[in-house]
Amino acid sequence: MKKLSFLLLLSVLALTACTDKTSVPLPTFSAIRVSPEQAVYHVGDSVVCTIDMLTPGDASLKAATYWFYTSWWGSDPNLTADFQTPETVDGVSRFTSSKIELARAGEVRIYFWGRLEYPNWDFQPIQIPVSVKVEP
Amino acid sequence: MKRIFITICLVVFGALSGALVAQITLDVHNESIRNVLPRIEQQTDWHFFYNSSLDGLDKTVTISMQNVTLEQALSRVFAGSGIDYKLADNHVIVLTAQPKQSATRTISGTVLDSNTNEPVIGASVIIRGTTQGTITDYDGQFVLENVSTGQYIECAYLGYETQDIRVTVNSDSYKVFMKESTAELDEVVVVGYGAQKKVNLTGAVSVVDQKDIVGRPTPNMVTALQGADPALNITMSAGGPGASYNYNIRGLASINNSSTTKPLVLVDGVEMDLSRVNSNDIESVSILKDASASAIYGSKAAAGVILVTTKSGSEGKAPQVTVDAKAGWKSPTTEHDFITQGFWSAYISDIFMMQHTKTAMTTYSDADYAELWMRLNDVTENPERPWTVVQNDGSYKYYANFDWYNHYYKTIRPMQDYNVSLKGGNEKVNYFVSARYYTEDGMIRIDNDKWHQISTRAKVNVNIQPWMHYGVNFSFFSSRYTYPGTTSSREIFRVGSLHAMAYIPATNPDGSAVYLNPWIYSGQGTVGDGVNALLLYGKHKNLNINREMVMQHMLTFDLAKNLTLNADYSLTWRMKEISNRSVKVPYSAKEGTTDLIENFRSVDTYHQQLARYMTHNYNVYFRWSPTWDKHHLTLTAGYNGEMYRYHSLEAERMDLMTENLSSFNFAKGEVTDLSESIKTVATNGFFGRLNYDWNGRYLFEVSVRADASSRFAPGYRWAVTPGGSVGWRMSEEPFWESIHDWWDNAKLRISAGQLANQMTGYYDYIQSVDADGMFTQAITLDGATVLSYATESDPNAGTLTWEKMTTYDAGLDLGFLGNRLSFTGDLYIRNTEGMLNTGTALPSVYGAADPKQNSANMSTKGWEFAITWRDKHRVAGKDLSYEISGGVGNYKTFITKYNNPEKLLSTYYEGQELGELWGYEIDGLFADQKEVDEYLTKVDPVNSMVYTDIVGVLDSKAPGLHPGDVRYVDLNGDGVITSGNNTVDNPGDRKIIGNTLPKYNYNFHLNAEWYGVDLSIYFQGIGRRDWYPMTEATTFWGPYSRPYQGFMAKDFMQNVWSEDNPDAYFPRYRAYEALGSANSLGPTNNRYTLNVGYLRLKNVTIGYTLPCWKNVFSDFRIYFSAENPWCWSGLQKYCRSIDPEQAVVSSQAITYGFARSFTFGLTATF
Repeated sequence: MKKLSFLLLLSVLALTACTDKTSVPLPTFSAIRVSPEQAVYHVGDSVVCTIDMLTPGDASLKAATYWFYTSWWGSDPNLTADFQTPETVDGVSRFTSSKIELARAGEVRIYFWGRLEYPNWDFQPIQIPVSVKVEP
Repeated sequence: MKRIFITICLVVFGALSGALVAQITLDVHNESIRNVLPRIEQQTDWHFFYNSSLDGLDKTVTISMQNVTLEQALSRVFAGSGIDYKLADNHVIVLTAQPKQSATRTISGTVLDSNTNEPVIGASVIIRGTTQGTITDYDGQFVLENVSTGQYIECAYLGYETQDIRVTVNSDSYKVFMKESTAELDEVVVVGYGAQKKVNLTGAVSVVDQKDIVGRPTPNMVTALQGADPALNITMSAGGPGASYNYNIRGLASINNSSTTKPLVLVDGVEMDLSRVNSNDIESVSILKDASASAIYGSKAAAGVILVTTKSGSEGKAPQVTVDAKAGWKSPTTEHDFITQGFWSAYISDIFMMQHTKTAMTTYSDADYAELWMRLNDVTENPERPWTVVQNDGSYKYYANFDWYNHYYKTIRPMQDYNVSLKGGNEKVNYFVSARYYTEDGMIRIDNDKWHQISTRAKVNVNIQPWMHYGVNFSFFSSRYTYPGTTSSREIFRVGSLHAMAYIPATNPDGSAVYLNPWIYSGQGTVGDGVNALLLYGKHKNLNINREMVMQHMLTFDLAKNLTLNADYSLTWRMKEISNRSVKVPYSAKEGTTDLIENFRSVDTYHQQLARYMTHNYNVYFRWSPTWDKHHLTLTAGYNGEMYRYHSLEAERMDLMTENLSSFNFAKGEVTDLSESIKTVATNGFFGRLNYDWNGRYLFEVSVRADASSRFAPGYRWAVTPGGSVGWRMSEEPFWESIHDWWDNAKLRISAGQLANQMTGYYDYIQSVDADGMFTQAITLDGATVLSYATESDPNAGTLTWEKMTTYDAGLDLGFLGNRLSFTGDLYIRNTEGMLNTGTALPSVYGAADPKQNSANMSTKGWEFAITWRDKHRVAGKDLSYEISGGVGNYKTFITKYNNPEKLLSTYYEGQELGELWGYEIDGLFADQKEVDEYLTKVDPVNSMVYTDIVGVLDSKAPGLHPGDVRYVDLNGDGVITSGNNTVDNPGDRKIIGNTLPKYNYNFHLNAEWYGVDLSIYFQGIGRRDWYPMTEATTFWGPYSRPYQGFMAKDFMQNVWSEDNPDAYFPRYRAYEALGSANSLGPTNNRYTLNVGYLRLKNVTIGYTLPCWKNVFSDFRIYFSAENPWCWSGLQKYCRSIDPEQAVVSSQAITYGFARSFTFGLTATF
């Protein structure tokens, strides 16, 4: 049994050693808050989303781009990423989206995206979704 | 039917030892031992003495054995009979019953050489059927314990025939006389117009072992021969099926026509293309490397000779069928882990382009980049995020993660190879017939290219009379290659990746092809330059057919003892058919619309070329080989004639009535080509060769050939080329006796000879008239009617004659430890004189190009050697035989005379080493602005040739030198980086930084066989070869060459300089820096010159010969073979998508990918 445990430990160590390189610590964020907050929305309703940066992540960050996006904008040439920069509210970096019109019925998603540029072409993604129920 | 045939051949060397060396042949079927004994008595002077009631005499035996000793014969006859025998002194064999109970005991013995009575050291001594054994000591003695009476002891040693002795009841001590194997001494090597014993060769001739060629999973012999000898350099032009190849022996023989001044390849005496020879038909390959060996072939042998001998039937052999079938797959030898994420492909091309002209390549906005970023890890389309978004005006905008490499190319493609042969014969007729079918899928995925190949051979020899022999040798080859795209399949590899970035898919949502629209580089770039669209459309069809038939008739007359007359005639007929069809190609830029591509690849046209080649070859020669005592003479003399005719017809016409049928009958448009070409050549040659040896110790050879060629003007047509060589087998001298027991062979060879090269143009001495220009350069006076006209070539020198190569060679052949260890090495010098070159410069009033003259010389000096170790050991009761061999060679060639008094570097010059690479020196990248500023105080980049683009494109984001740029060294200290006068004396800031010719061509092999398992491992490589990736080597340079190049390694940016990555290999990112000699990476320089030398595991084969089904198959073997499975090269450090052999095909390294193959096969003989 001891032998088996030892082999298992070795295997775990070997697998751990083979994982990808450790990435830089990324910023952390709260969940997306949708305003007005309600259980069910209807097509044509408008919402505004906010999200807070909880920790700034690694200091070597060279550039960062953040935007809000929805699950139905992807095939519409007129709806593009809603780029936002943070504003400090009560000491917290907060991102607030533009007004988003809910155009599709069903379980739709609103995303907060980020592209973080670290040295030596190390680009890291941020993707935080929230689901919203929309009825016709 | 009961059949008894007994033949006894007894050779007596001494009164008693005669029995040990007697040559007895027995062929007995179900005969009683009692009846077999008289047969032996009848044929020998030995008699049997026995009690007629002795048990076992009526046991029936079936024995078939040839040329065995009396002892071996008796062992077989009495095996298992319970009868023991003893050889008495008076030639009486006494038979007695074996004791019923034989207790084990210890025996001893001595193993001796039967010729010298010297002890054989290290011989293996094994009890047959067991693993029990030992080896002999320094005195040849052995001791074996636990041996029973009646058991057999096997004594084996390399270079000797294996001997069996039977343990008898009366003796505990044995003497075993080992007879030297004559196989090595009698090994015959095919040489020009005959064959010679290998030990008597005086020229530089190497032999490629049949087992290194046969069965390899290669389409033809060329790739199988690659690396087989250090002197043989073979370079494939591409990795695809039917790829052409270039090859030479000991380097280039001439600076002219390197593609035609190639070694002469003779298959059974007839000139053939190696790529059309079935490697399974090969019996042997001889490479004649020096002039003395090649001289007898005269004019075509200037670059050496490769003699291929195919298999023949054998007398007295029952029909034997061999079937070999293998199937497997091919895959690229290189990695193709290219960027397939649209974001990165767009981002990299944009940042490179922005540094060049401020304008981004894609013109994509931040919102577009966000779209690409969100799709970054979508391997397939996510319904939320389609790869193509139709814009309000109907145009398509792309955010794809498209894998263009796998769109164009297959990485796994099947191949199959089937061979069947039949051989046999009797005393009147022998025959060998073979057929092969080979097929492989090409690497182009869309409208897949395919290669089919059939080859057959039929060889029959008939003894019409005891003094007259007739032979016929017929071979046929046919290949068919179909491929899509434009005329040159290379185009797909060249332009297919341009503008084919990962963010652009190959097709629109409606399935139409992507080619051009406002969102692709603002409507300026065309995806794959149309290759993608035309492949998808699938109407471009190309067909290459090659057929070759060789019919050879041979007559041999035995005129008298040792005198034969040979006459042969061969007809070689070849046909080449090429047809190319292209059509107008549709694409879609907007939803619901279709447009046609407007470029030269999208034209409705049909082109066809039909070419025939016919060669008649005659040989008449006699051979007289008398022997007087210890004097051996061979005189060969004869005539060789050849007539060659080439006829080609080529036509092209536009606008066919249908896209689906290709025939001139449907073409109604302009005739864009209609041309004919006819070329003829005739040569006549007389040759003679005299070989003499005294007692196999002193060897002489002299040969001469006189050739006349129609390629030269009357009066300059004849060339006489002599050759001679001497050899001294020191090991045959009496004084060698004291060391002969460990140093078996030593031969010194020295040769000198001259060869002549006729491979100039067909009619270089005649001024010609060319009317073909009407199609290539139409001239009109009224803008409509094309004039008929002809052009006259520049005047030629009528005194053109043969280039002559004189070769001096000194070689040494050594054998040690029973020839288990052998060495062969050669040093050589080859002087080529009278190479065609622009002659004396004439005044400009002459009004034409200076005519060529035989005015240039060059000299090659080189060496090569090979070492082989082979041995056999007893492992687990079975013989383990193995062979390890290796060879290496190198040469240097210098121009010794050339009409270039100013020593311009743009052409050859006196003193130049062939292949030398001139380039600038870069000592690093600027680390910071301080280094840049300091450099600018010493060097003026504006007037330097290497920074033109960096300082010249003023609208770039950052014009001028910056940290991260390459720092060229001002070698001559003149304050600018230039090429000076482009001469040797003033090369500017350049120097010799490498050599593009292969150096240290090497190979090593391991072959082993044990217990029916055979293993072959074959490495081949080149020690050094320098390569500078030129402007279009796009997979190496990536966006430094063209920022819209689609195939870029995923980790490419890790090698790009930035402030975060100051030790990077590549400089600051900037588009087009490698495109053009005026840019910083365009000029050849030391930093980016790569050593493309390599070590390649060329082949590994493991097989197993099944011991079962012996009653059906005489041989049944299954095997796995891998060709090119592994390669190491320094190039891989910076670019893993270019094979090192692919790199040297062209400076751009763009060609059909090289492949590795893996096959499973079986060979059955019955």
